[in-house]
Amino acid sequence: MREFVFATAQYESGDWDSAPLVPANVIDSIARYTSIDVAPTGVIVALSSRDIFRHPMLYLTGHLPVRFTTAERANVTEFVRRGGFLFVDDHNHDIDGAFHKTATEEIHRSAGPLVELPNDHALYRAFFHFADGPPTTSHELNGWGDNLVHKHLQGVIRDGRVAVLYSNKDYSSEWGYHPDNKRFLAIDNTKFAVNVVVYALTR
Amino acid sequence: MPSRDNRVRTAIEHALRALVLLTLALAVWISARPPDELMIETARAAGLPGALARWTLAPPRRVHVSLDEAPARSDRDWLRAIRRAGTSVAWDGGAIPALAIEVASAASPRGGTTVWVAAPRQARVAIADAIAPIDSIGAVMGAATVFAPVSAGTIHASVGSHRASATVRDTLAPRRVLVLGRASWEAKFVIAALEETGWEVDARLSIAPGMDVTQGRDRTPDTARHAAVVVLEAPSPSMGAAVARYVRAGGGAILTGASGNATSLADIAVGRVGARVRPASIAFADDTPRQALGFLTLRPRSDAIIIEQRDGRVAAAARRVDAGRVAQLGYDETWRWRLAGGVPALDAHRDWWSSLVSSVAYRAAVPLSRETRDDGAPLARLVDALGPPSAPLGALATGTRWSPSPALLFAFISLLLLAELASRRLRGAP
Repeated sequence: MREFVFATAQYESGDWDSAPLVPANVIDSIARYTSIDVAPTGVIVALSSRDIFRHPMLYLTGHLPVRFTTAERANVTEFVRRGGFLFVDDHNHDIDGAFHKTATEEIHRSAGPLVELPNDHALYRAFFHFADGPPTTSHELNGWGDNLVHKHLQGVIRDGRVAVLYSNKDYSSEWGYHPDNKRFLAIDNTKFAVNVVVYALTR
Repeated sequence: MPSRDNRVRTAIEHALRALVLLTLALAVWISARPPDELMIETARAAGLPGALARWTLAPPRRVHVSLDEAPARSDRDWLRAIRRAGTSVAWDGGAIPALAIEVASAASPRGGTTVWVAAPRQARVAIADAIAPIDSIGAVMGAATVFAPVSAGTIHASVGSHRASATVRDTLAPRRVLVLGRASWEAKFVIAALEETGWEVDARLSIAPGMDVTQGRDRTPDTARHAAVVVLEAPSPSMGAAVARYVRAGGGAILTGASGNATSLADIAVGRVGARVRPASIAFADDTPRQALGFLTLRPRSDAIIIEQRDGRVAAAARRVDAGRVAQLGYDETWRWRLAGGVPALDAHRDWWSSLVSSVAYRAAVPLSRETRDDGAPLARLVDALGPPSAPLGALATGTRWSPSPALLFAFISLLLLAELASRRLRGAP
């Protein structure tokens, strides 16, 4: 198994499975734009199990408060220490919601402090170029949630690399549709997902 | 009429004069006598410096030196000079161990010194530098390699009282590592492992047709800039040709997975890549972690050296290609070891990759302006200088040629003349 497998992290608290269409959509974009060998379906791995160490990139999302168990926290710490890449997206797209507060606390506790990523970070040039930093989502522009456009993503930096990427832009909603429906979009809004995967695979 | 006493004294005086003349004749004979073809001058190690001086002043036809330890480098050179001046020099020294040491700066950003030691089998070798012991190796199987992260001055290897020494004579100019492949977990974690051990890494990872993710400034292998190239996937024909040229010019390359089957790398590859072997278990053991990795079997060329075998199948091998070195690995998913291995896996994976690169790296050496009096292989140098040892001389054949010193003869003649003079003066003769 030398191909890239999109892995979604299953944690005990909250609603880890709130964006079930995201994996298929991201996989479709990777296959569509790159020559990366990608598995046609994603997998779900329990954050408390050793299985997470078979998947160097994990996607974690939800709406509800996140409280890692001791095993989950220890696994996340070890996962990041060994070079894994954890992509956490707040499905609420708000800045003071329950997921944001609890998830950032857990990230800080298990992986380290989050810092704001500059909008000229390598992440935004890893495949497609995003000159203004992270692309905005329709939910931000529609004024849902906290009625803010979040200008930056955040990350935990280890050895000069982003080890944990944290977004409260609600990409989970933005990318949560069937890939066949991309044909109805003027601009594919999953392009940034390709950047995230390429960054994880190359940095 | 002379008394009876005076007659006796006169006779003694005549005898003393005659003895003086005889002694003078002996001295003349000794200095003028031809060399004795059958006579062998001998010396032991302790008396070698004195014997060398004597043999230089009066070169004998043949000498034999019995040694219980290797002579000092200067004495060995002196013996060689005497031999070249025409004296037949033979030696024996069955107790001298075949001990040798060689040291070199490690081609690693972490620095350090690699020490290679050769010693008799089962010997216990102590290694020390100018300050303190570094390591000791018990039951050496002929040769051993020791890595010294820090060392100072001359490094010695000792077996009992016998010692060989060597000094690092150069330092290495740092070079970068170029990683070629495509975007993959293996690429990511190989780059991470190398960077975490101090290597500066350039990378060129293909990600879509005609599109690469790059890192660093130089993406074409060049001995002026790169210590080694790591090829993770079959490169393009032009890049493969550049890697082959780089290796022939002295560069080092590591080919992994199926990259060795690329046509452009066929000339430098260590062997053909065969079928994939799945691991019997995916549980990583700390002492044999790579047992849990699958690999592609290698069929190495006849001039290759096998580095690692699993169940009789070759997993890693290496060979020299002109001035360069190539290592080829059947492993193409070592990232699993780093991510899913035991507690030591992270460091072990880093060190393994760093040492692999070090082992093939282009050595851009900068000589140190340092004069040394090293003797890295005393016995080998002795054989080189004097030829192989001969059998020890038997009791009948040993012995030195009788040759009283001129000073002794002069003192003896002076005593005789003084006695003769005293005798004459006591009896009142002029």
